[in-house]
Amino acid sequence: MTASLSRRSFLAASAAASLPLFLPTRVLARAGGIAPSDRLNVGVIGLGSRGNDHFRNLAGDPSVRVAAVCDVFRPQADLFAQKAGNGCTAHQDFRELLSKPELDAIFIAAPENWHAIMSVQAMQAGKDVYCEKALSLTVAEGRAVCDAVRRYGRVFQAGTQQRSDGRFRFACELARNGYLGKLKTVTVSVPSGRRELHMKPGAVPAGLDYDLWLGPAVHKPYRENLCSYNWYFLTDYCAGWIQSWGVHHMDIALWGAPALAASTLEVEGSADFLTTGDADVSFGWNVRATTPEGLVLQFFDDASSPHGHGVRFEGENGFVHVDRGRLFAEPASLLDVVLRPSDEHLYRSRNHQTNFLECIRTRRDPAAPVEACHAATTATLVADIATRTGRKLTWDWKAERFRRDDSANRLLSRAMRSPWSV
Amino acid sequence: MSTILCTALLLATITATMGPAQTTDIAAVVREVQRYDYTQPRAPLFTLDDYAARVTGDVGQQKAFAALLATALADPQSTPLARTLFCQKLAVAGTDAEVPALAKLLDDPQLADAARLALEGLRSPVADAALRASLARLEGRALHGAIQSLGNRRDAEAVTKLAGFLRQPDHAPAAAQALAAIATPSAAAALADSNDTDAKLRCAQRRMAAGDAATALSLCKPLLAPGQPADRRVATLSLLARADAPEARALLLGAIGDTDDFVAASALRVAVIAKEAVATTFLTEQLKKSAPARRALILAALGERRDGSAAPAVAEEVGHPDDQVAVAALLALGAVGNERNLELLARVSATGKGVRKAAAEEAMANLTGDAVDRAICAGIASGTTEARSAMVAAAGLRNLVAAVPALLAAATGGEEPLRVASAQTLAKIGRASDYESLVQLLGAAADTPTREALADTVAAVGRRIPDARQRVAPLQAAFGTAAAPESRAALLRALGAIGGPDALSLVAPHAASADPILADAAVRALAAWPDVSAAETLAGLAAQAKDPVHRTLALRGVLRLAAASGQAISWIERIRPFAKSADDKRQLLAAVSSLKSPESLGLAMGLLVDPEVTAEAAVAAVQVGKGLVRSHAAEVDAAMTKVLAAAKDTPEAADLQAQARKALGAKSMKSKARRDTIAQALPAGAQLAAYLDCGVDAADSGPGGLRLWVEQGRTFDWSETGDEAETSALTVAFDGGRVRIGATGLHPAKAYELGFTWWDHDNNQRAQSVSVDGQPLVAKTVLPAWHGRQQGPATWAKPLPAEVTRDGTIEIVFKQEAAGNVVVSEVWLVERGTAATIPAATTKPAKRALIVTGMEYPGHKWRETAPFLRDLIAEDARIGVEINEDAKAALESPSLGSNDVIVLNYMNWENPGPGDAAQEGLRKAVENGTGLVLVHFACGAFQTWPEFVKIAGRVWNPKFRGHDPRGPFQVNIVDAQHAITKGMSGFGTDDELYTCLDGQTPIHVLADANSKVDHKDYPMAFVLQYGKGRVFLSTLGHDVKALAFPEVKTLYRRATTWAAQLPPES
Repeated sequence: MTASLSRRSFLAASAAASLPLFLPTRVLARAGGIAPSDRLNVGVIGLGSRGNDHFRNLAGDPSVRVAAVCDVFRPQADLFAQKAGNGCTAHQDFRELLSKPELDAIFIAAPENWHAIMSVQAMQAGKDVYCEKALSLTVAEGRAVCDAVRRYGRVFQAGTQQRSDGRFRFACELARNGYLGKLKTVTVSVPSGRRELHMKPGAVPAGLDYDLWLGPAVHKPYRENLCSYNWYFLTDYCAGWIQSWGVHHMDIALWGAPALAASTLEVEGSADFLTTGDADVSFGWNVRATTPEGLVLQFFDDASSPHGHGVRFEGENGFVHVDRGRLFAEPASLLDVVLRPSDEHLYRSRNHQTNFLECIRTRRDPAAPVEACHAATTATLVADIATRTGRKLTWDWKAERFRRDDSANRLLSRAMRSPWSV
Repeated sequence: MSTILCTALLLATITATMGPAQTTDIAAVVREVQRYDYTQPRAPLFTLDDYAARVTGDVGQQKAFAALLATALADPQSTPLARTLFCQKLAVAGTDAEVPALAKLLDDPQLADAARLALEGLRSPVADAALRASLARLEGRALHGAIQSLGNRRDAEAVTKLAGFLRQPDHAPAAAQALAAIATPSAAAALADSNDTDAKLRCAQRRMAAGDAATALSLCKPLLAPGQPADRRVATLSLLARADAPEARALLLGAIGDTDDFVAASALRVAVIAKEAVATTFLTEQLKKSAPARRALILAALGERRDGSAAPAVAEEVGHPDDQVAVAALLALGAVGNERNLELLARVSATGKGVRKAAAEEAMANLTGDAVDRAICAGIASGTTEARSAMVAAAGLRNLVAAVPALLAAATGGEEPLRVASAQTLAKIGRASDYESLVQLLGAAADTPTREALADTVAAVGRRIPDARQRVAPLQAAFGTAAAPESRAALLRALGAIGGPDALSLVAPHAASADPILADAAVRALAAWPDVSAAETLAGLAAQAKDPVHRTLALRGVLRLAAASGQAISWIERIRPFAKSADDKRQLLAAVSSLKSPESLGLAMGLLVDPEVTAEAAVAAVQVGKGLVRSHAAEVDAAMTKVLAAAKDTPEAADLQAQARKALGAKSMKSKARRDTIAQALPAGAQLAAYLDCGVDAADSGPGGLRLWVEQGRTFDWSETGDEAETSALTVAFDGGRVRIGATGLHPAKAYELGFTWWDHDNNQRAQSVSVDGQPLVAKTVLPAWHGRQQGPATWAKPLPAEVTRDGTIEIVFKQEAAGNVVVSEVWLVERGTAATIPAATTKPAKRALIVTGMEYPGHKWRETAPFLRDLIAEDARIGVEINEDAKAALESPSLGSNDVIVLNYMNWENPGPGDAAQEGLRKAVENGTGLVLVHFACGAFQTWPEFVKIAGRVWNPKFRGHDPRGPFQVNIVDAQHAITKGMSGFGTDDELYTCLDGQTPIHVLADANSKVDHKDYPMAFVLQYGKGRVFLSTLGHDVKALAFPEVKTLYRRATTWAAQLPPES
């Protein structure tokens, strides 16, 4: 962990060199040969609301051609292929899409239980990858994605797009460069989502390949509306918003306070669950993690938080609080700080997608590198496990295991349904 | 820590009651789950999940639990779904004892994957052995699953068996992947002959991580051969970067010179992160051998390595003829360079062009080290003017506050360009503490460019001083001592840029100075004034200044400030006579054309007859007229007639006139018919005094100077959305909250009747009320709807009380009571010969309520809830309600206690709070008898104020679980005898059920509700006494939707009147 974090900060420190040197598309590793134009060919997997966002942005970018789209619900894939036009192909099985040699990069917006498999297979097929957060469903899968990025030498952007928002970067730069004094507490608060699910058993809709939707998840009979949104709140497919939303702000917390992910964390917490409805993820939580040096990470759902939504770095000399709409500090003069050249400047990116597309041509690591998203995803999963076991746990970042609690370690991975693996 | 424990205890959550330490009958729970097929309640599943996660803390209980699960798994009574669930729980809490039972299921067509999930989850050698043993009997997908699990388990003992599968084409891919995962030396040996390059890469990566670079290299080196696919070569390079072996390094660095650009670029990326210094040496050697494009990439890589030893080689490339190389070198130098490179960078920034200049500046901003900063300070102090100027720029780029003394010196000495550059940099980095020095410099500056630059600097730094007086005072002092008129002029310029009333009083008198330099400076400062305070002075100058240039400057200054003033028309009308030149008049017309009002149309028309600007006036009139064509069709029609006469070739004017006439024609026909219909229906002795077809007419006149007009309300025409009958009720005046109609000229001795029509044409669930001069006339009424119900508009006639018409002026207010907005179709007044004796509908409200709001947690939309509360309280006519959005001012006000009740719709304990005086104001008012109603999150308004819990009874405690998820729940009435809840019974609502109120103050609970989460009852509404004040608190009312439940409205209305010490409503 330490090595990868210091490597990241090293790369980030040099990021101010702002005139990127682009490789023309024709020199990218395309087994299929030379592109008809210098546009990047991309594929989008998963065409729900997030995939739709990506599709819309990509369709509006003249440097890109959406050459293939994929959704397990066949009519959705057909609809988007038609929208894209220009020879875009529709696929129900992502493996078919990955076999298209002309694709340079893949955008993945499938549910969490798919992220690791699709990412690894895409990179194995020689594609660069933009994958939605969280990085993975389990810690073990996340490690596999990190290994794959470095094994294949691919460009991988995690969908933690707050890294391309200057407010978050500035808050982290204040925290990292000592402007808050010695850091004492980092507080992360995120929404906990919709929980009152009432899903009736029902017939699988025509056009949906349910077995492929389940993929690596254990087989259970279909329920209505499972495949759109409700899966967020079912542990077979996602650990809930403690993970899926949590990773956004947790990523910022670790970006601004790398010491949180440097050695070990003592973690304990409690959570609330509903006994009615189908959701089996927590809807309220209060987790506290402490480093050996005494730096504290507090993690709440918004309603339980003392500070409300966002990330707050508190040091001996003040605090800075940031979320997607707000940046405030105490004392307020912290907001006037201008970084010195000798200060650590974090990776500069104004737009997450553009940054990824640039990195495809420069081969640099993008703004949200895989190890960072893995650390953030891991922190949220560790928090979830602590609330579920009800025990005080010691998380070892280097070993990526809990110390002295093999039962808790059993919650770090899940066997995948054959033939899926990473 | 104590927070968490405290929370855990107080929450009394399910988790705390169901843990293994408790006496949960887990056997009964398992039996319930056995029947589960989605159609039963999920509660037992929750208990099972929770128990499985926690039971592993106790070995004995875990074994018993696992045995229970295994039994239930084997029980044919269990549903298939339940059996899957049991496997999932065994993955978490199973023991070796269940391995045989699970292994048996490995070839079960339904449960094989779930059983494997449990076995793999066990992480036990016994389970591994069972998986190995199963390889002999399994086939197809089940076999591949078992192979995959052995790989995931990194089971070294499985290598021989797995290697055997490599020769069977169906199973080879799964076996190769598993061997790659196990990655022992023997697994690597087994893979050596495989043609599965992906498995080789995976295995090599794991060997590399184990420190065995030799095996890793032997596996992946062949993939680097020139004939291999580029993605395999790149993958291999990426792996080599992690190898601590000379051979790997040589291969890697060699690839930087590869003929394939993609491979070379990837190798460079890898070189960036290589730890060895030799990588820098190699890269610098490659630099000289490479063509420009590759050379630029190498330079970028050197920059990213941040290895200072590359600085000399990088610096040599700065002068490269190819821009791409030079820019890359400059940027890299910013990363690896030091103070010795400053001069070179300064030279390029001073003499270079375009991208090179920009790159040099960026590099100067990026160089690190205190020595660099010291060199910049020294460089500002001496050297050639060009070099010194470049250092001045660098200080600005680096925000180098330490350079301020050197900059102050350079701003006075040196040549003019250096002085100006220094002043500009000081504007950027100067601090408030440098302000007085800068003012002195400005007073002493000897040439115009420096003076102007310094005046701007003073203004820029002055803006960093929060207190306006401290900005002005030093300038005032300097002005008093400065002798040269030029210096005094420069100080006036600075004062002008700072603005505000204090500066204005200093600058304004000099506009009439006998000294032409001072007068000119003062006028120009005023004309550029940053705030509206100078408008008055400028208007005077526009009229009276002797110098015509000054008059023009002043006139334009007024026009500029008027646009932002909110009273643009009156300013423009005022200076209109002083717009003498054609140019001035054009400026004036430009300002006029952006304002849509009859007055601005009049202004444009006035200039139409001026031959100098006829064309421009015509354009302005058309522009303004477009915005008025519906509301003032007659005026627009008349105006366009004149425009067409004055400027014949104006097709837009003709179009507009046609539009105006169409509107006018339709209106007059329709209006006339309606007037006749209404008039004919009136009894003898009554006459139609004035009539408005809302949405068409803006105003109407009647006998004796009577006027009726729409005061507030925008226009809309439903007939544009699908017409079914031509009726005046289709055009409306509408508004988000109120449509207001004004009338004047009513005869004091006569009686009037208000007639109107309204229609919920689009079936938007509208309900509205009507009042006149604050007196209720029509209570909340549901409007008839056309869509869906095919109802026509409703016609009303209501006599107006004499007491409201007696003073000749009335205001009629149509108020929204439901749905999105309020609409009125027609309004008219009927006049009778003599005043009828109509009793007043009500008297003036007896009591006053003040809603205090304006600050809230962002999820609480006080701008929506406060008006909603006002209206629901005002349904009781005995109480008048006002809203104050400035809570600090409201609570600090000495007249707070003159209100009968305060409704606190407010939360602000951390932002920062309104302060002690405000809190004490609230406390005192309540103590002395003013009632207090706390709405929803107002229970958290002052969380850190100890007295608050005594006043409010209970206070939001953020350490507790906040509330149930927003949703429907039932509120129970605990005391149906209390004045507030009398006669009420339980009701359903959709709200946040607060569960975190804390405090010991005695309270009397009126209503409560049961949490869906912990099944405990929580108070929803209660009352208490503080001093003489009555206090009511309800946690209901998260938003308008929640407040709109009839029972919730009743609660808050009755609570407010009760707290105001009024008797219960009848």
